[in-house]
Amino acid sequence: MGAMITMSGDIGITIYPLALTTVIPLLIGLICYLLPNRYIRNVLVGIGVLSAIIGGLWLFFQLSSSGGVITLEIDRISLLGISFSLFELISALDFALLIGFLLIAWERRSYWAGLFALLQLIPLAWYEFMYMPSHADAHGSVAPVYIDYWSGIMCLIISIIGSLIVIYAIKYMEGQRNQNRFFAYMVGFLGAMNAAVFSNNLLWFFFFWEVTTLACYMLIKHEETEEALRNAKWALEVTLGGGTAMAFAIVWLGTMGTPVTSFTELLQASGTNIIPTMLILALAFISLAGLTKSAQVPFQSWLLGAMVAPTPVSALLHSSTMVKLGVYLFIRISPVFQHLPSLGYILAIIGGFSFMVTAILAISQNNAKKVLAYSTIGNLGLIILLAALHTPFSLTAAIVLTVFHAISKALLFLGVGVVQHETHSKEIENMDGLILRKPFITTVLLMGIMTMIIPPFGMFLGKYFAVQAGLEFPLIIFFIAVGSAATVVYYLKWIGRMINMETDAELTPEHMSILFSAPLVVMLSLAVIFSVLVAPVIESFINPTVKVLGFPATVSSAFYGTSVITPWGYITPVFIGLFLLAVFLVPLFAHMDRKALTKVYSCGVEYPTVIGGVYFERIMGEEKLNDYVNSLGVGLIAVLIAFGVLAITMSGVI
Amino acid sequence: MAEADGALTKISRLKSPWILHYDCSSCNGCDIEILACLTPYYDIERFGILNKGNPKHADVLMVTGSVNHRNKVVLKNLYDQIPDPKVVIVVGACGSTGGVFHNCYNVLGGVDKVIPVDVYVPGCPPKPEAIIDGVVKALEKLKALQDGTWKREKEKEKEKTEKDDAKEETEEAKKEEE
Amino acid sequence: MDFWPAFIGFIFLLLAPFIGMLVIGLDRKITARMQNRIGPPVLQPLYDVIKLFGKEDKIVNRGQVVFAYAFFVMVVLATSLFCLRSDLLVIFFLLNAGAIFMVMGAYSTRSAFSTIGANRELLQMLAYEPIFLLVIFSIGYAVKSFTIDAIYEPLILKLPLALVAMVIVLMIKMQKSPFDISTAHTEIISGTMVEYSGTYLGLLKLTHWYELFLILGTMALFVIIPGNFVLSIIAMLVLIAVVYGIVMLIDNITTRLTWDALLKVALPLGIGLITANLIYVWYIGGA
Repeated sequence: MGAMITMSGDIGITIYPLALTTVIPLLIGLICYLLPNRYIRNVLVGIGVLSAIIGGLWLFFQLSSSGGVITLEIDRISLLGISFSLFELISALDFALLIGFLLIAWERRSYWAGLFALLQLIPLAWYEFMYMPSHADAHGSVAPVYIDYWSGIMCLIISIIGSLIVIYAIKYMEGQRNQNRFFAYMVGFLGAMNAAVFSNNLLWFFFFWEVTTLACYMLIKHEETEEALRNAKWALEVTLGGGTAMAFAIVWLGTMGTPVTSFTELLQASGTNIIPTMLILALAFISLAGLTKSAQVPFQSWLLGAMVAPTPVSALLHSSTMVKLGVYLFIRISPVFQHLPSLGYILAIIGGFSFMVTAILAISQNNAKKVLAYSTIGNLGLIILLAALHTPFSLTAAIVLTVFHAISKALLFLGVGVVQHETHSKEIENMDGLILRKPFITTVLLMGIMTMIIPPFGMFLGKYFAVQAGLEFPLIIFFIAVGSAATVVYYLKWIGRMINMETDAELTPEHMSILFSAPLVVMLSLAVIFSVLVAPVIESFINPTVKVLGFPATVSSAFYGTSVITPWGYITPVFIGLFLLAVFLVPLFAHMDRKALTKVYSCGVEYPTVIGGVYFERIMGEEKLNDYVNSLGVGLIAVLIAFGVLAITMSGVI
Repeated sequence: MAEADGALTKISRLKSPWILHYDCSSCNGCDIEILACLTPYYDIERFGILNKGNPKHADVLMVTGSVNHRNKVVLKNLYDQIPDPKVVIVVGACGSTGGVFHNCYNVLGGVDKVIPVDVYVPGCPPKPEAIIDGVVKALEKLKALQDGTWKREKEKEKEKTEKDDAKEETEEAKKEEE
Repeated sequence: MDFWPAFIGFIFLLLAPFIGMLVIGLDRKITARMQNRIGPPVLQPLYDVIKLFGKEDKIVNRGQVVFAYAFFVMVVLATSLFCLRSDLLVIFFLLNAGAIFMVMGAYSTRSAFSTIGANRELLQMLAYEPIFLLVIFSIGYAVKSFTIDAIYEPLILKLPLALVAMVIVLMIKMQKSPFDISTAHTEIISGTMVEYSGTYLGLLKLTHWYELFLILGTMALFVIIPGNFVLSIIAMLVLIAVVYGIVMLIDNITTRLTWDALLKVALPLGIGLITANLIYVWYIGGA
């Protein structure tokens, strides 16, 4: 093509994996938008995800060899002889995006979205065009690209899990309209998300954050039905509201005495003896942005409404990656909570409350995707709770939970997607006896749910760590106890509907495309293997991450990697896993006497039994509980904002 | 089955017979007397007897009332669900022979028209002491069943036909050899 | 690992089902005496289970058998970890996993009684799991570790209310009135165990003995005096006698609660007791 790309600044070899994970997917997304041909598009999508995976793994190797932190000072890019600053490029794109949001708001007659877009546009315009040119030090002197182990882990999650989901989507969306637009946003989203976790500069981070909001809106409204448009509008409004909070926070941070324009400066500034009051207010607003992105109470309705989107969208955006951006933000700023413990405790209560309440609400849901959505919100609340507790152990627990939740939840969503694809229904009532009609997918779903609730698997380990982390702040243990009991109830009810089978019935294995079964099997294997080998995983991946974030490592492995030792107890996943394996493998070799089969007991008569599920709407339904839940949630958010505002009026260290 | 069990298993079977109580079409007189056995006055729980409502958990089937076309299906279904070794006790005159109803157009007769019965407790209704006597006799039959000293008629017939089949096969094999 | 504690743990593991069996047998005998009758011999549960193991196999489908074995394996694993004085939280979650497998076994048959029993068992879990987890958490909070090894004084000194909350868990787990909705014999014919017979029912009952041992063991942790073996055993026996006596009394004089009454009575009571206790421990400096 004859392009010449040169960059100035200290870059090293890292630029290649960086480009593979961010630029290539974004470019391929753009090309997909313009390509109607299905075969070339599928090949391109394959190349895009492959580049993301290779880039992610390569980057992780680079990280281990450079001590866990890589910074890049990318200033200017020369393309075709024209040189421009990357800062200016991203600013320009950001304003284009905000104007795009205004146009969407105009088109959809959405006052809130228009208001929020305007509220983002005006302060940012003032900040970038009037404040920054007149203040020489406003740009900051810190490297805008900062990659550490935490970014590396997020990049691996996004690239690997995201790629599996995109491959699955190729088969899932077969025969539907507008696929070029769909894959453009899916693959482009991977690039944007990767870029977001590599950004140190707050404005860059904000830009990629809003790109994910755009992708979310476009993908939810993909099917263009009345319901999809309505829910996409609502999702846009809530997430733009969060973006506005973040925009305010960035402007406040940039206009302080010593300006804060990046995450490293933010962490430095909060570590001083007297924390500037604007910083506290900005942190409260950044937390608010994170809470809207992760759909915590009272913002959970947008995520529940977003379940009308096609299942790959739900899997990618609304469980494994986009909502994890909020969680990424909280763990990124977690050292701050050591100096502002009250802010941490407020966030911990919000997260814990979300966990408990969404678990109870999920019991009354019939729609399988809504159950998974509630479960996602709850687990994100748990991660936020652990991140906000700001102890080394709880941080380890938060990272463990993030990794395992991404894998397990994507697996469950993809499984439900296959069920929806084959049986055209996502209601749990219609999954009655699914094991007879579709044994493979039922087994996959069954094992996926077991990785969520049963020892020795990863999500259980997260709950185990969470209870131990509660030793340092006992108030949260009530949320965890009730929430985890309710979690077991709704997952088991679902399993019960699926495995309900008649006597003597034969299982008919179904045919499934390799594009469906391969991602499912890979993800299930990842979930199981990482769970059983969790001790080496913690030693090699998670402890270095915790150290790089500035905390000491508190969890160690013992006995050649079979045991995990925490400051207050120990667990041996390999041991438990072996027993579980033995008990489930035995039926393969056991001989069952056909004479022993008999009928179920129904008082001697032989009516065909019709069994329905129970949903307890009377005391746990949405109508009953939503008012209380939302008002309590709004109250908690009011406390959060009041905390920030009071900091200004009472200027001093809180 | 019988001789292969250990001594403790054989003793336990006799010490813990769980009953399933089914009323075919009784006037409930016999049922009241059976339930009276469970009250503190007679207290058959001291023999380990529990009234289970579930054939899969039971060893002893206690049947009252006569059999008609409707409940013969139910009775057979319940009898099939009870795992071996099992005994059947019929309580009352109606279950033994049809009682006062034996000539009715809808009544098939006693319970033994449908399932093999081991102990009959006649009476209308029989006293709880008689019912307890019947249970003890059933336990003696269970003991004989597991010692191998007694077999039911149907099983005897089945064994006889099996022996005859085996004899025929060996005779045919001999003929082919010759 | 030291020899003597490991050896004693091993002996307890072998004796665990027998201890459970004796407690259940004594329960039936004393209940009978309370009802003015003679009652079965104390070894009756042993005869029941051995008889069950000698019966013919009659099952509805293979899945329920697998889940019954899974339940058994998880509970025995939890008991062996308990006897090895390992992490209490892991033991709790393994017990939990066992109960989950039993519910799955109950759901896998297409039987109305079984499914209703499984639904009720889930509601029961919603009631007793938070309380059990909170009791274990309060033990960890008072001792600053979750391993049984680390308990250095009788917990009852700091955690009396947690012991009372544990009694609620015992009542629900052992299906004692007023909390016995799951195996409500007269309503749903033993609910989750309806479709099991013979060997597998015997296995379920055996597992029930192990569970009883575990729960009584957790309560016994409250009165163990480390270092003094004989006094600990005597204290444990006295505690179990007192606690189980109260439970039996309440069982015989109350009737069954419906499931929403169960949730509205058991949960606030248990959580309230533990909250009070945790505040007390925090106040006296246990944190």
